[in-house]
Amino acid sequence: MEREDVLAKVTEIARDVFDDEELELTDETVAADVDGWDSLTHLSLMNEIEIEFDIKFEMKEVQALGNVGELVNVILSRIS
Amino acid sequence: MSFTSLEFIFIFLPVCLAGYYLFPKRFRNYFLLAASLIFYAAGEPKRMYILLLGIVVNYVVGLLLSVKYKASFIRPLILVLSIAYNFGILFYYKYLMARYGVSNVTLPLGLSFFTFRTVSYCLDVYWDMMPVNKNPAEVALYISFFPQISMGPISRYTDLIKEMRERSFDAGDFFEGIKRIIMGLFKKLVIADMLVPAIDLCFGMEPSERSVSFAWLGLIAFLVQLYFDFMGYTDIAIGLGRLFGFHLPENFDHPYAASSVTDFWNTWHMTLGAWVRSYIYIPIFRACQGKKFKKLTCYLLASLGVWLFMGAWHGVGTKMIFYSLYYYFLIAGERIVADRRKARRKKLGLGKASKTLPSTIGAHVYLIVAVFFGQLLFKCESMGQYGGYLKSLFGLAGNALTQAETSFYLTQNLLPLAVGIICSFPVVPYILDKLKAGGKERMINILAPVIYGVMLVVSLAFAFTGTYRSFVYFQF
Repeated sequence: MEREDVLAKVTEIARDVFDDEELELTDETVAADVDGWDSLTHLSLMNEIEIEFDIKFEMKEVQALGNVGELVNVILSRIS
Repeated sequence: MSFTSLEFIFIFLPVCLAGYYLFPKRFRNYFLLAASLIFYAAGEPKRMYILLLGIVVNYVVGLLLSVKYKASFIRPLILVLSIAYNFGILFYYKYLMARYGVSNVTLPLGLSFFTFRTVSYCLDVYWDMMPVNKNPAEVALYISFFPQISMGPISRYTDLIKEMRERSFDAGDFFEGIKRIIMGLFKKLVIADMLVPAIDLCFGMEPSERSVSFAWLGLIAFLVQLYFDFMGYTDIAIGLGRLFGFHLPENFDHPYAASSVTDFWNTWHMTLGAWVRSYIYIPIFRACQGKKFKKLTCYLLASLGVWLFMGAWHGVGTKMIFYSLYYYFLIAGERIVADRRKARRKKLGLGKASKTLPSTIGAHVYLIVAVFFGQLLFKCESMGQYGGYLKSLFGLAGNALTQAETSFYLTQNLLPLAVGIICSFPVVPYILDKLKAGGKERMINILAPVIYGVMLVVSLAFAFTGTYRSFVYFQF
């Protein structure tokens, strides 16, 4: 899967989690940029991504990823 | 040694600052560690071994956690034992306090707060969020850093270690630090402490002696005192950090201006909130997700874990169980209502709900009422006293509507009460923004030093003449 495909899939999941059909994510997007990205929705997002890509995040990845780009990098490293 | 004591302001701090900046950069952390241990020894000489033992144990635990073992159970076992050790000591003292009374047993200085930091260190190393620290002086300074040791704010290991290794002198930061210290002294000495005589008298009365008006005055004064006492301490701690080049995290963001109990706890004692979120809420939530529980079930279980911990941390006994459950049910209720509303709007094909003026006012009124009754429970020593106070508030204790003490203390405390209530809401930042937008920055720059100067003089006058009052959260 290419990087763009992963980002598109993550965006699709995020639109559902944050209940915002117009949400656009980029590598630079951080939680503060998205309305409703709090600890609860963050954990839901991570869980939905785990189910979609059949991966398991480590605790440091759940807690310390800086932006969407870093999240995509972790997903790519797991599925490749 | 309290931050508001004269020996701290006029002896410890100036000597510490002079020594710090006289030492070459590479020795400054060692100097701060020595200063922190002297600060602690001055306040807790007999039980200092608990802190020293905590440093040694957690340093060794960190080293043990960094080893790759063949048997997979060893690392989790080391972690569990270290958490049991750290919280074991804390809850042993909490148990003694509950059994023998807070007047007979005191908590060793800062025990709660350095326990949060030791557990943060162990878990961050366990989760590989940071490599283990092999430098014992850095671990010791993280655990014992004197601006934070007594009452926080609680820094996460991963955050403080970065500045411990790389920070530089910045004049702007230094002056910002002085301003925060002055603000903290003013909030504690001139606002919070001024209200104590009225609060002590009010809460010491029998329900039938306390008139309705005095009961409300006492409760409002307590809410202001609790906030300004803790915020004042935090301002001083953050200011002290700045003097030495550290940027400690903020602890408050106008919690009384929140529009839900969930928001209130996201803006009150924020570093404790972040700590429980990282080390209790997220692990429980993730474990529930692993068991394929529904999102709401995970939320309710993780929040219950957080609130049982919060209750146990604040104290042992029936009252604190009620306190935890009170806030837990309000927060859980808010989540259930929000989820249902969201689902209904989605079903009807409606977008996000927009806020109307009545709904905004209603939300703020609900929060204030919820906090009135919740924090009253926090203040009362028993459920019996709580029940009695509630009766006084609504005139159900055979009490009068008003009494002489109400007008006396209202007149005496008008200034701290008024300033306290106004500054509990983001009025000052709003005015400053308006002035800046109106091109009045020059006026602010001229007036600010005068205002801070007056605040400092008044605060010092109170420090010289007032009765020493400990910070409320010292007992936790």
